[in-house]
Amino acid sequence: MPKPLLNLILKEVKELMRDPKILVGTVLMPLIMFGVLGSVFSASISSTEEAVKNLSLIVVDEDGGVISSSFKSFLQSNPRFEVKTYYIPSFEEALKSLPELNASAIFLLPKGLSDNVTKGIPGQMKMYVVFSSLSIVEQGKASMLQSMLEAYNKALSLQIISSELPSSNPLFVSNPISSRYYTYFKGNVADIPPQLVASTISTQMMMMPVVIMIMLMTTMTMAATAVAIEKEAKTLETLLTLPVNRLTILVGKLSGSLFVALLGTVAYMFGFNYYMNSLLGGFGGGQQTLDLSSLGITVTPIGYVLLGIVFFISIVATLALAVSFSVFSEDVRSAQNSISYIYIIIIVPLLLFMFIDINTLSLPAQIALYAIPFTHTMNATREILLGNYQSVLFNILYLVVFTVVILYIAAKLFTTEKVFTTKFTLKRRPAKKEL
Amino acid sequence: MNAIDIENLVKSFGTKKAVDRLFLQVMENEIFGLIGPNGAGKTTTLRIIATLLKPTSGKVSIFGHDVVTESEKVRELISYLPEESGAYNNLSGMEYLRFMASFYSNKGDGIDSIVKEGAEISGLEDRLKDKVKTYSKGMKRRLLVARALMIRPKLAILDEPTSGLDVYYAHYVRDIIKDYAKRRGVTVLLSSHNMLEVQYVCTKVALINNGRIVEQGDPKGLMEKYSSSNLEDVFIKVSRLA
Repeated sequence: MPKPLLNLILKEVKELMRDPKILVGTVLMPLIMFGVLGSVFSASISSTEEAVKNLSLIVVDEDGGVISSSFKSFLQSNPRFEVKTYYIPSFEEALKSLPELNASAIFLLPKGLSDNVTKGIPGQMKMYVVFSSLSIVEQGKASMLQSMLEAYNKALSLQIISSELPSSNPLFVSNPISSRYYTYFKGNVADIPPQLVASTISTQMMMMPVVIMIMLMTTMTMAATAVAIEKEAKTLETLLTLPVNRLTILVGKLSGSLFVALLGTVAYMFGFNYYMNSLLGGFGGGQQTLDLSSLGITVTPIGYVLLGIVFFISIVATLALAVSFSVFSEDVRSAQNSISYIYIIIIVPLLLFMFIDINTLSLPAQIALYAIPFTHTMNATREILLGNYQSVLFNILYLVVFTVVILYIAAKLFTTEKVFTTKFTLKRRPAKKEL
Repeated sequence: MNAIDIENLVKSFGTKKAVDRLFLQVMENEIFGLIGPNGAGKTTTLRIIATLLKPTSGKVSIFGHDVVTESEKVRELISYLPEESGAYNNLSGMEYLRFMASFYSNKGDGIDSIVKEGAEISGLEDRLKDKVKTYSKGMKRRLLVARALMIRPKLAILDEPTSGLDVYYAHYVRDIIKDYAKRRGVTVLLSSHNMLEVQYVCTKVALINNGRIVEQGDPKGLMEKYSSSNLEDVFIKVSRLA
């Protein structure tokens, strides 16, 4: 690497990394933000699990029959939870006792419940769930109480079947057909339920574009700041009179920004990964990610190479765009304001890719969307996952052409006196005064 | 060979002419002062010489090299200190000097020697270890003057070199410019609206007004010609005549 370029990159990295705003905003904030979010989520899951393990319940037994006594036994013998049960004769007294007993619910077993059920008439049991803090813990408690009631209902159903039809298998009668789900995708059949495939893909499809979006936006902010800071600190004039090619200065600035942006992206991915693990490992790790390679949904070594190329070209395109805009800004603030308008062309494809199938759009809408370079970034990442490499090559070609054009414009702007003479502002025109 | 040759220079921004048919020659080893009021065209002229702006018409050459067609060669010969200039706030003064020196020498020893000279010129001593953002305006200016001179350019272009300095340090910087130009054989082109400063430092001056040179000569000769005790009076008289 030529020495002047190396000097410029080192200076750029030093300047950016020593700026507390950039260091905190780009590198530390994703780690702190996702770390805190993940910890809060984990803590909330732990406290929910703890809370549902030690439930206090009030049972108001107006029935006094076989069903109410079997329900009470069910509550006491439940192996999953330690339930503390209070028996109170009337509903009014139960309501009064709620604060003192710190109970989570009142089960009201109305008079005639046992009679109805034994006569084959559906009975009704009332469950009053106590909400006190409206936190996620309450939600966990409510769903746990509901599943507790459903479990009792299922047990009662099996008991009735075995007494009414003693020669039959109660499990068969309650569930005569069992189903097993498979997923077919592009010639591959996998023994995985389609809902699980869909949820896993949607998690991955959501994660990737969000990471790409954050990476591109971070890069853009970094490059715009790096150029604008030279203008704000009045160092650009001196820099441009040094005995070094102006294109080298531009490349030095872009490379320095690229380095810091990549560092920020790594920090973001670490943080995001921690957060997703906290999220997916919730409630006893019930929901797990799935290996979709049996369906051919995987990233091959060629896919990784293509992914690297797509990311790299997209970042260079972003840097060139940011420089082209910020070169006309007088200071960091106006540079960041002006590039915020470019965020739209990153966010629009992201949202569309996350929530709709682009092929269902009208042809003009598709053309407009595919004119946006970052649509190709999003598309390429999805197609790589699905193994459609020909489509990815077209995406790369479009990104390369776009990047070369924008880099050419950025280089032209940077080497002309327009850097000093043009001032780009996005201020609103003052409203006309009414006479 | 002249250090600077300017022939019929015009620079327009839209319909406004900042420089209008300007002719100027600066000899090698001179300390040449360009003086005039605000908006006279001093900074635009210096920016064209420093290759930052392109002339609308006319020809400017530095030691025989055209500022438009040979701009990279010109940048090897010059050092430019803009009027409103800053240094990188998150670097220390020493790091800033070293960064700038690295463009003028490929060897570690060469860079060390340039930085040593810069440190001496700045007179900032131990404060060079501190980050630039902790410097006062005057300290920053001393660092920037040191940066401009330490590389021993063939032509130093200094736009208002004592801008923002107190009396003591303004005097210090003037002495440094005078001494350095003499000792190192550096040609200096400086602009100032402080005519007493120019009178003290420069061997030759040009008075600029409305983008044109209205008078030039050595300070003593001009004062005699216009029967004035200082350059300020000379400028007033020349402006009235113009």
